[in-house]
Amino acid sequence: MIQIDIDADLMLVDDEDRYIGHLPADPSRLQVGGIAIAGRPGGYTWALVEEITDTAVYFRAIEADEARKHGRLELAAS
Amino acid sequence: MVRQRLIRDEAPLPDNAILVRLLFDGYEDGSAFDRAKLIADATLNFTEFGYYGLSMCGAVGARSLESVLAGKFKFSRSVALYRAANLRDKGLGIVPSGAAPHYDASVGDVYGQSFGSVQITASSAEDLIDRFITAIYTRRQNEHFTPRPS
Repeated sequence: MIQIDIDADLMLVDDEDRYIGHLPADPSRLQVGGIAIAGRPGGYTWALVEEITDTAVYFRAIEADEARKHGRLELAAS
Repeated sequence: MVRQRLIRDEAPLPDNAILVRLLFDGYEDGSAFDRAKLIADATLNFTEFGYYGLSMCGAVGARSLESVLAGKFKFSRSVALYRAANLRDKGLGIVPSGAAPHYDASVGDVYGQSFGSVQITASSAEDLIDRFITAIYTRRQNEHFTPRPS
């Protein structure tokens, strides 16, 4: 099973169309500008993290090519 | 920090308008939704925007259902299709929030405005989700599903 970094329903977006995910238990694993996997086991996407608050993670869904540019294209197994 | 959500000034959707919700959470027991996760999602909306809401996407106007499924919904193998009337029948309001075609299914007032036909003075995430998961919907496979990350 894939390891999801950011639990998100991939439907909740802000007014700028950025996705909003739940803050993980250990948010220190995320950083603004970093790449993560967001979604749920049934569906997920590469995510470019744009903002981390005390309550949520704001990100944009990106394609594999962009994730590769940021140096991450491996999938971690949980 | 609660943010003020844009509420679009648009006419209420007609009863036959289609609203789409991703179905990521199909379970072995055949249920389509995980109540606890949906409550958490509605609560996150409250935390961020100050009201309980569950995000949906409208296949309305120039946006055909096919274009919606092939766009942002390509994450998901299947979707739930709701008619606006199905949600209203459960006392849910349909809030035109954020950038079109985003909508929220919601209970209670949103920034002092009422979007539902039922007056709910003590809204809660649990109430919202219990209404939502008992609303009539049609499950559809998304033939545009694209596994990601790839």
